[in-house]
This record gives sequence, structure tokens and C-alpha cells, in this order.
Amino acid sequence: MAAESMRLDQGGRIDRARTIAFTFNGRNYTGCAGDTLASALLAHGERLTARSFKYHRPRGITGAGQEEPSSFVELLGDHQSGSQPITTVRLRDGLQARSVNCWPSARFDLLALNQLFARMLPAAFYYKTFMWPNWQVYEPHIRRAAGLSFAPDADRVVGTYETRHWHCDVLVVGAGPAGLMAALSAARTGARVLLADDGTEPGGSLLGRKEQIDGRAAIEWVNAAVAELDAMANVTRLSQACAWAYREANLVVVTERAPSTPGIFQRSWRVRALQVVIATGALERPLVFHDNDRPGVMLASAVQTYIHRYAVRPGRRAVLFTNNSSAYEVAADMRSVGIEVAAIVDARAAIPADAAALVPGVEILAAHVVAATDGRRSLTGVHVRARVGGALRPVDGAALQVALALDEQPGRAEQHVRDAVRHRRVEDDRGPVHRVHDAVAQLVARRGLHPEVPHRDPERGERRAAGDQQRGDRGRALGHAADAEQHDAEAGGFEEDRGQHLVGEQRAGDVADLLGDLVRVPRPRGEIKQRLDLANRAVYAPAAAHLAEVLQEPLLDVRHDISSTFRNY
Amino acid sequence: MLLITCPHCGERNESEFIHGGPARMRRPQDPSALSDEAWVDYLTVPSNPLGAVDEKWWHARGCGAWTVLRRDTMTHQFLPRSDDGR
Amino acid sequence: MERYSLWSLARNALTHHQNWQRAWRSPPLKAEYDVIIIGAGGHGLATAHYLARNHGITNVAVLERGWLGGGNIARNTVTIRSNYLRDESIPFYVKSVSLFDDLTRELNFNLMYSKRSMIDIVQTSPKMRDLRRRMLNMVNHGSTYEPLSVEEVRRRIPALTGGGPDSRLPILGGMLHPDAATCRHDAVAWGFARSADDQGVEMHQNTAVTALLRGPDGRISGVETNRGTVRAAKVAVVVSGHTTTITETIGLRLPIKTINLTAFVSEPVKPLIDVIVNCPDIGVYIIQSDRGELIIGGANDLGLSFRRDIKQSVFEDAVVAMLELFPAFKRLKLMRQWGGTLDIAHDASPIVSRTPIGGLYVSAGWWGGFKAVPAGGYTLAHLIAKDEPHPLIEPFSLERFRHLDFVLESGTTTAR
Repeated sequence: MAAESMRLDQGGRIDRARTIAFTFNGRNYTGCAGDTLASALLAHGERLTARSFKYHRPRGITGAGQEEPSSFVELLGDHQSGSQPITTVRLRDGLQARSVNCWPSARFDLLALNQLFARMLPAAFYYKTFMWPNWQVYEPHIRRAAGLSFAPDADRVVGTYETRHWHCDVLVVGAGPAGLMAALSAARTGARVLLADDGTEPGGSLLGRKEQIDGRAAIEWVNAAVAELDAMANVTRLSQACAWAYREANLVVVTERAPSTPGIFQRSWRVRALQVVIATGALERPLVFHDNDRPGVMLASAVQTYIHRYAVRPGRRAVLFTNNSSAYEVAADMRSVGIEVAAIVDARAAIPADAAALVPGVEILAAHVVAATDGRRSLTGVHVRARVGGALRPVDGAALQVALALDEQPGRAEQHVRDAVRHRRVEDDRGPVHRVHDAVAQLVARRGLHPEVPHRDPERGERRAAGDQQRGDRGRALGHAADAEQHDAEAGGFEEDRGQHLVGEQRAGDVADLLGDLVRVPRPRGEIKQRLDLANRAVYAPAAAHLAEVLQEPLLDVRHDISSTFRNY
Repeated sequence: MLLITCPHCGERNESEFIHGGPARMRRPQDPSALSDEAWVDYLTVPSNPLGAVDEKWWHARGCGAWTVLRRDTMTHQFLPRSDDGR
Repeated sequence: MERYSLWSLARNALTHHQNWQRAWRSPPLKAEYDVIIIGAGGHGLATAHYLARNHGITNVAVLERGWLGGGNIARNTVTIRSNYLRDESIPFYVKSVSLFDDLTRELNFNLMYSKRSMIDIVQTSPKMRDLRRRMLNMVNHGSTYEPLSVEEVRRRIPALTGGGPDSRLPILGGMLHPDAATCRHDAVAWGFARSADDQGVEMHQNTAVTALLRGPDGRISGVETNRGTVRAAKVAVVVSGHTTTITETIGLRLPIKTINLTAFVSEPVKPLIDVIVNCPDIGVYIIQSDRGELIIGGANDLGLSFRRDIKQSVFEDAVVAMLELFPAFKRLKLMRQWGGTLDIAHDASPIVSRTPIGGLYVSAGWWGGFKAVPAGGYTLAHLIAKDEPHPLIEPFSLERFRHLDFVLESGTTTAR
């Protein structure tokens, strides 16, 4: 069994005392309890874990969760069930997994010969050929090459499935900081709350970062929040539960993948909620450049997660490519665990001083972009050039890893706030984590669920109302330079909120600022329920102005508003 | 799956109901007085609006009551009915 | 039109595929055309192609409110067949299948046309009788349907492990429809669009027709769109689902209602099912695409709907039905779900017809319209060009309702 050369000695949310043996592509490895297949393989320094769909290019692990685009595996034996991202497979004793879509193995894939014909195989090439004598001559071969995993040939399920119908006042999807705060705020008023989280443990993004809340480690805050929620009779909390369908009239379908009840293999919850809070967090978007798919190219947020949650060093030497300041925090984290940061390639011309201060001694290439990469089965080098014009040049020797960071179009100031909530940023020193759960707490509180919320300040409310109207108009005319200035001015207004308590003390206008046109306005009962979407998973109309209106509406007391009809289902 | 308001039972799941089609105009009192065209229209042409439609719902797996409700065919929201027709 | 072939692919490979001729243009919208086709879906684009190819009419504009081929042609479950019940229906679909058989060559576009036959899995005696009745009539009109024993059904569909003697509805047998086929639906839209464009037809996307217009003589004079007025002496409404929305702008009511039909696909897996599987007694059908995804469909939603949304109950009914017969699929993951807006006419048969308004034609009521795309376009083009129905669509005229001369096809598809 290969030694875990990339495992950190300390830290992480894994149990080093409990080793787990598993097999991947025919080779034996060990990992720790709490690992995913991806983290365990990275701990062994395994990088080549997949092949691309058409050209069978070598691929590795890019993300840390559902956002993984490259590496899909199928499980063998009793757990056979199609394919899934390598980052979502929990390590278990006796796990056998293999990469899909390669033969005989990911390391050596004969179908990579396709690459020799790559020029003949552009997108949609099959519409232009395979016509003579007819398609069915070619079809069987194409069908065999397609398909990611083998279809299950037998019903191997051990245990039963169960369905549960559930009603609640507030369904919170996601137990990251925003979701936990929303659940707490709602539950403290006595509302019936269902909190569904897809992860193996609550905490969401906080599990992968070294964050602080209220002056202590974020994990402590998570543990306290979870303890409080679990102690409440009106709260039901689910783990490894994916809310995957949002149907009419607030019917949400949640699949609990590993219920604690013995003998129950999976449980499906049909949930009707009065209100739904979607706090599913944000996924990082990768930057695009030539050959950006080599094993070793990873998302910056994923690198952080591997370091903090899984105690794994995903590489030894790295270049970061970014267009905002969040990558500097990642670079600092990487250096703290012994990863050498060869350079930070920043597309921006001006790097904020506080960001640069996080990484003393690291070469920062401002107004540069990564243009190409080297390496076959693994990344060996990176080529950069100036963002405008500029020739290609290699970065200082071989770089083993590139971490990518968030995408933002410079100059789109009005997206500044939207991005701040959608992606994690560190421009504001209170941090987006605080803003988001403030916003949710405020919104939930304003709906009458938190008795401690002060009513809005009429003075501030009026001033904001005027601003909101303009913002509503701006939402319809993105990119207007004058609006960008105003938005920047108001973004500065957050300074005065520093130091305020987390729960319930944001004001209506601030919530509107924060959430901008992400929010669809909750409507009174009797109509199709709207929902608060913090992760911008759907398209909403600009509603900042409307949000301010609705927060001025009479408060609903949900406890007394529950129709007995629901309880009688 | 809609939540449908039964006059007796309140909001219940759509699965408890059977959809009874659009609430049609009243059957003509004297069919023989109508032209063939008008009669065929009555038989075959339904209300098919992109917007509000009045529909019959039968609470078959509940109290058994019939009710006419107005629903928007685009948003599926139930709308208040004005006092017209059945 | 630049020919597609292995040689042109190789030649273009030398220049990194940057010099391919555009498949269709985006010309400026003129003020007047000979013919306006509303709807750049399967039927609309096919009609445009046949108007040019068969009738030499090329001063044609196809107006599409969304993007080309984004309606039901992008959403259907690619079942091409002719196993209908009525004397009036079967010849039409037989013609459509035969047009499909040659369409790749005619359009020089690989439709990935796979003649793989369909098997109806029969689980009740009434359904067996119904299918036998269809078989007897189909034979009279040039289509084929053959009974299969339970053993033969299982041999052809090895993944079918359920439906045994101890199950709720044991399999009694099956019916084989060898003429059935599938293909890539987008390729049909794009192939017709490219060919029509090459022959001079213009396609205009993001062009929503807001009203039909009549001249002083009462005949159709053109349409009002979000980009201005466009005049034409002949206008065809070929928009599934929104037919009445458009015709009612001119006061024309039709015996049509609009419903939502949904489908979904699983994750892609290695080849598992080679035929089109239809289970009419329990309400599900399954096709495996060439990408490996299982395309699964069931019954339509009840009630009027213009909203292409998924009803959990409808989705679950289809899944439960599928798992009855294919229990091994329990662990497969779902990838996408979607809906499409359909018209159904009063007798569940299509309407391809002139209307009381001169110059206005309608092609609607396509409840299962993908298989009909070539014949629908072929016959509508004939109707528009000659202002006389092609024999194949005479039974589908709007006049039939006047005489209560229904072509009753309710219950002959899995979608109810």
C-alpha cells in the first residue's frame, strides 16, 4: 500500500486513528475516516484519475465537491450504481472504484488514440459524416464508446426505501453558515424547521476554510449552532440529504442518502413548506485558458478544502491564477502547510495592499494571465503573458500546480455586490460569511420569526427607499457607468456596520444592498410561495426595491398562522 | 403538485383531486335553435387561454365535493374568481 | 450548400474548422414575403424545406419567437413509428416514416437515424386486443406489427427482469413494430434549416408574432411582430401549444387544448437497450440514446398548461412504472427533466388545414408530432403552395369537426 506522502500531520476533520482500505483502478490504498475518495487519493499523491469524454485526455481532480467536472468513477460490487464525481464518494471499508470511460486504465488509455484524430473530431463532427452507407453501420461502435459507466444489471439494493411526507414552516436547504443561521433564527421563534444539508457534516463552506465567527473558530460556532438546533423539538436536521426538486407550491423533494435508521437504505422526503430558504452556497467558477484541464489544475477553493478539511497537501509547488483577492487567502493557507507559492498571476492591474500583505515574498504578476500549461499526465509548467498584448513566458521553472480563482469582469461594479454574495470574497473585512447570514437572519426575522428584531429605523428606511428605487432601475440597465459610481459609493456605506451583532440588527436597506437582484420577494400565504435564493440558482427579476417594501409589511406571526389542515395530512 | 383549496377541506394536495376540465359555458337551452357551426363549437371548442381559466375540480379522494376554481395556465397560480358563470 | 462528408471534414481540419460555411444566415427582416411560417420548430422548418424543394417557393420567412429549434423539436422523445389505429392516420405516418428513412441523404446531414424497432410490452388482455386490432388495420395500409411471445420479448430486451408471473401485472406478450426508429432530434431541425436556408428561405429568430393581420378583403395580410409588421398573402401557424394564442388574435377559435408533456433522462451508461420499449399498460416508455442516456417518458399532465414544468406525481408514476419492469434501474441517477407544450385536438388527431380566413393555414394538434415532422412539412407545403390539401391530410381538415367526422386516436399513445 502506498504511503500517504501528501497527508498533513495535523488538522483536518479526519480521524487518523481509523484507517480505511480501498481499491482504486485495481490498486490498493488506505485512507482515513472522513476522507472522500478524492482526498484519500490526493493524500497518496495520485493525480491522474480520469480521462475526458471524447479525446480521452488525462484528467485529475479539480474540485472538492459536487462541482467536480472531470473525474467520474463507478463503484463496483454491491454499491454499483452508475457514475458519480470522485469528490463525492465517501470512503468506506472495502470500497472498490474505478475511473469511467477509459480502457484499460486511466493511466494508460488506448482510446487516447482519439487525440491523434482530434482535428477530425471537432464539436458536432458526427453530423457531418457517418452518413454512408448509413448511420447504423457506425452506431454500435459509437454507443459502446459512449456511456460513462456500466448499467446496473441486477437489483443489488440491500435494505428498503422509505418515503416520508413532511410539513414545516421553514425549510432551509443547506447547513452552511447562512443555512444554520436561518434555521436558528426561525427555530428560536418556535417555527417548525426542517434543515437539509447535502454534506456528511454541517458547516458547508466553513469546513474548508480557516474562518472566524464572533472571535472564535468558525467550527466552534457551527458546533454550537448544531447543538442548539438538535436540542429543539421543533427542528429536524438531515445530513447527506439532497434537496433535488423544487416543485409547485413549495413542494421540495429531499433524498436522505444514509438515514440512521437501520435497514432503511434511503429515505425520500416530500416536503411542503410555508417558506423555503435556499442557502446552498456558492461554487467557484474556473478561469479559462489553453490546456486548463491538466491533472494538477484545481480550483482555489478546493485547495483550501483539501488543506483544512482533509489535511491534504494537493501539491508541493503552485502558481495561483486569479482575478480577485480571495486567492491571496488561499496562497497564505498553502504556504502555512508547506506548499511553495511560486507566483500569483493576477489579471488585475492594481492589487489591494491588504491582499498582497497576506503573502509577503511571493511574486505577484499583476495584469497577467495564464495562457498555457505544460505536462502530459501531470502539470509541470505554466506560461503567462501580460493581459494586454505581451508574449508568452514561462514562470520561473516548473510549477506543479495551478489554483484557479473566481471570475469577475473588471469594471462591472454593479456586479460587485452580487458577486460578493454569490462567491466568497474578502474585500470587506467583516467577510461575506457574516453578511450572508446577517441577511438571512434579517429576512427571516422580519417575517416575524424572531422576537428580538427591532423595527426598522424610519429615517434610514426612507433614505434607503429612494436608493432602492434607483437600484431597481439599475437592475434593468446593467453596465451603466453612472450607476457603477453610485454603487461603489454605497458599498462604502458598509463601513459603519462593522462591529454590529450578527443576528437581527441589519436593516432593511442593507439587506436590499446585499442581495440586490438575487432576491425574489416572499409573498403572503395564499399565493404560490416565493423563495429567498442566496445562491442565485435561478433567474430572478431585479427586486431590491421590492424587498425593501416587503420588509415594511406587517409582520406575520407564523405560530398562529398555521392552518390545522396541514397538521392533518 | 398544486395545493388546491377544497371548499370543505381547505388546501389539499392535487393528488386528492380529479381534474374535471374547463368549466364550460352553459349548455344551450335550445340546441335546435343553434346553427350547426355554433353547436359544433359548443361541443368541441374548449377554453384554452394563456392566462386565467375556470376549471372544475373534483375532490374525489377526499370529501367528494366539486368546485370551480380559477387558475392561471402559465403560472399555475389560483386566482380569485369574480362572480360569473357557474 | 457546402457538402458534409468525410472529405469536407478532413479538408476543413487543415484549417482548424474555421472556414465552414454557416449552416444558416441571419438576414435582415424584410417587409413582405410570399409566405410566412410562424414557428421554426420541426414542422415549420420541414415545411420551409419542402416549399422550396417541391414547389419552388422560396420567398419565405420562418418567424421564431425564441431560438431556432428550441421548442418541442428540442424536447421530444424521438419515437418514429406508424402504429396508429385509424384508416385515416396510418397512411400519413407510414409516409412520414418513409420520408425519414431517406432524410439523412436528402438533407446531407447525419440525423443519426437508427431503425431499431419498437416493442410494446403488453400486460393486460384489453391492451393485447387493442394492439391486435391495430395490427390488423396497419397491415392494410403498409405498416407492420407482429405479436411476440413473452420469451421473445425477454430475449430482445435482456434488461427486462421484472413483470414475471408473481408480479402485479405479469407480461403477457408483446408487439413488435419493425418500422420504428429513433434519431437525433436537433439534427432534424438543423438539417431542415440548413437546407431551407440554402434554397433561399429566411429564418428569423427572436421574432415573436404578436398578432395576425387581415386585409380589407378579409383575407390574411400578414403578421404583427416585435420587430414590426411583415406582410404576406399566406401565413401558416405551426407553433405547438400556442396555436390558439395566435389564432385568437384574429378571432379564430379552434377545437384545441394545450397541455404539458414531460420527460427525463438518466445518466449515460453503456449500451443496454437496443429497441424502443413502450409499456402502454403502466404508462412509461424508454429509449436509450446513442450517448447512452435512458430517455424516459410517461403520461401527460392533466389540465391546461403552458408552463413546461414537472409535476412530481407524473414523474413518480413514470419512474414507478419503469422500476416495475426494470428493477435494476433503481440506482441510476437522473440527469435532466423537462416539459414541452402540446396541442391536442378534440379527437386527438392533427389539424393540417385551411381556415375560414383566406390565406391562413394551421398545422396543430400534434400530440406526438416528432414522427410526423417530414410528412407534416411535406403536406403543409403542398397545402400552402396549391391551397388544396394533399390526399394524406384531407381527413385532418378543420372541416371534419363541422361534420363530427372525428378521427379518434385517443388512447393510442402512452401519453394519455
